[in-house]
Amino acid sequence: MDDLSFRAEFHRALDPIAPPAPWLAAAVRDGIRQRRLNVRRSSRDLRRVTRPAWVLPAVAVLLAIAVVLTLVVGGRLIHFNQSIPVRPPTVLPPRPAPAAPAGCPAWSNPRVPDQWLWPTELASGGVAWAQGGLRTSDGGTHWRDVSPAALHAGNTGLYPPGYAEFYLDGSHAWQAGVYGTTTSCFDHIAVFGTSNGGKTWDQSSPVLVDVPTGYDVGRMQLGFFDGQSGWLWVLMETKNLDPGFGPFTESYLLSTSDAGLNWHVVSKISASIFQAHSSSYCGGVDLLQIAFSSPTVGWIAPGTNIGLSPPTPCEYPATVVTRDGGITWKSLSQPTSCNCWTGVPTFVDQVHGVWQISSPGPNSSMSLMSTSDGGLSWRGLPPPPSGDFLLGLTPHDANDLWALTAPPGWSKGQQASASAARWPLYHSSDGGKTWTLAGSGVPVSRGWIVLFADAKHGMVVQVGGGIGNPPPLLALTSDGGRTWKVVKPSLQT
Amino acid sequence: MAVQPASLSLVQAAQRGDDSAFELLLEPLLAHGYRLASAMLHDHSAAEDAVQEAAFRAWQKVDQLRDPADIRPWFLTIVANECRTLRRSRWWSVVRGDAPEHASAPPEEALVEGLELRRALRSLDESKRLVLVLYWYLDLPLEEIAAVTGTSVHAAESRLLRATQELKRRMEAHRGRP
Repeated sequence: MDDLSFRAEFHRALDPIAPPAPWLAAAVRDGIRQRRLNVRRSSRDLRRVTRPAWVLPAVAVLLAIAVVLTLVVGGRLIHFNQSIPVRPPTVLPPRPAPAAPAGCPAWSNPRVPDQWLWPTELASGGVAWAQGGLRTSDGGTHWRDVSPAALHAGNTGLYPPGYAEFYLDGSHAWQAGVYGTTTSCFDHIAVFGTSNGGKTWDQSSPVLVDVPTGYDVGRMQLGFFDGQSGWLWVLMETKNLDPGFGPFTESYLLSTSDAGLNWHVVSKISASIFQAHSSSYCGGVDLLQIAFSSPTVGWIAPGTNIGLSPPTPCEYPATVVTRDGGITWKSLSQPTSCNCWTGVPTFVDQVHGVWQISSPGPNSSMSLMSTSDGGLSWRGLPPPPSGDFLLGLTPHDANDLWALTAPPGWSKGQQASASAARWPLYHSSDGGKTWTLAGSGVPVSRGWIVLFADAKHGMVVQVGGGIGNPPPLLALTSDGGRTWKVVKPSLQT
Repeated sequence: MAVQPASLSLVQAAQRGDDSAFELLLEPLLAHGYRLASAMLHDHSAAEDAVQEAAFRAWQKVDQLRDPADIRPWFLTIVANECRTLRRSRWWSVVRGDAPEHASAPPEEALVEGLELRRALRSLDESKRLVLVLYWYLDLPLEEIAAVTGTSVHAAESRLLRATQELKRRMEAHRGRP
């Protein structure tokens, strides 16, 4: 078949699935106009809150100096014979971020109004965290951005390039970003940490890594085992038209033992560690996830996906594991016999974790494995009674698992008609060995995130956004899923 | 399908925040983006979502565009990434699954041929599918395909050649199956 004929065949095959959409241009234009308007309103509110950004940190510095002087002078007056420890100011005065050269990964724009809430951690006492440093202390009705002003560094963007965050519990959180100069996309990484729910933040010493010419920091991932020990994975990509999605090339793994104030390089992890399973690796930086069960044992794997076709070596590299804290990495054979997506396991403590396995294809389904030795060995668990589910874990409790499933017949195109259908939620109190239905289901029209603080208090998030999608809603339970209260969350300024 | 090159002044105006200029830049590209998304997702309503989101992301990132000549591969890169993100969203399999296509009536010869190609295309991994759609369906030159995929022209050509051969092999294998 010659090229002309083949091209014509392509058009004949694909034109029916791309029917003319004369309304699309107007719909896109109107959609963008509305979102632009909302974004600009949010941006004005953000600037109102953050300006003048230098005031609070400057006051903190002056107060700190005053306290130090009082202690030193006072100590001399009453004959202290010990040196007074001087703690640096908890938040450094922000430096306005200089405009980076063209082609650098950019700051993300202010919060998208209809998709502003992505909760990631539910703690006790009505405290929860959401992406972007948002925090609630009333169970989810009201949220505030408690990020440090220094993270934004005078920029009106929401996230710096390569932004990463981690929320350990109701009090401890960390945010990190990449900061450049007027002549360079990369100058240093800064990590900000709080141990009091965002009231005050500590800024790390500048984290320096070598970013060669022609490369950018595409993405970072951050995690902590406790309030002191954590890891930072810095992924580099070749410069490309859509920074953050570019081909993964090299990366640095760093660790900290002082709550993120100082970081040191553990190892350099190259894309070549995946090439044992393929002739070439062609995945993007956004494809990969890292997870550690302890300071010594960790995994890197492609993100969980149930695709339309089996994963192939080119796009979906094998999982690799470290047992020496990230210094060396080895390929791990599939935990099951299928050619499946694995993703990375999730741990509730340093020994107990679960691993979701996705088998691709027309009858795709999920299965579960669990470990009680930090990931050295795994055993299969019977999945909840559904082909697909969203797993929710309970912090520090390996026995309580939750699985949210979609109502029968639900599909994206049927959201409106399925709005009355509740989403079944299954519960296991024996670590996934058996599952029971919890209550009569969750009253959301699209359940996207499930979080539990303990056996009774949980949250299912209906993420908003998209054409025709409803606004974000939270379904909250305090009796283990038997009954639910739906709240419309709001962002306070 | 030819697209008039965007002028530098229009790009610069859009980067300065001129929304009308941005709309003028984007509108000629929406049809391309929609066809790419449809071919990648095999679902025109999902493709509409992907294009909508990609257009918004393009507005957010317009200051990253350096050369007006890059605008089509730049926007198609964002569309392709949006499609990839959408396919990775948690409920994609529940929403779409991989149900085989069925014709409601005895298919015409052209539809049968189309079915084989679509099936074969869907069975390929995303990176191969992307270069095939960009070249054979959107008629992009290799230089733009290389820009979208973040590779060299030589690598893009090589990937296209291998992907085309594999697609044709799979079409032969699918031919005649119910």
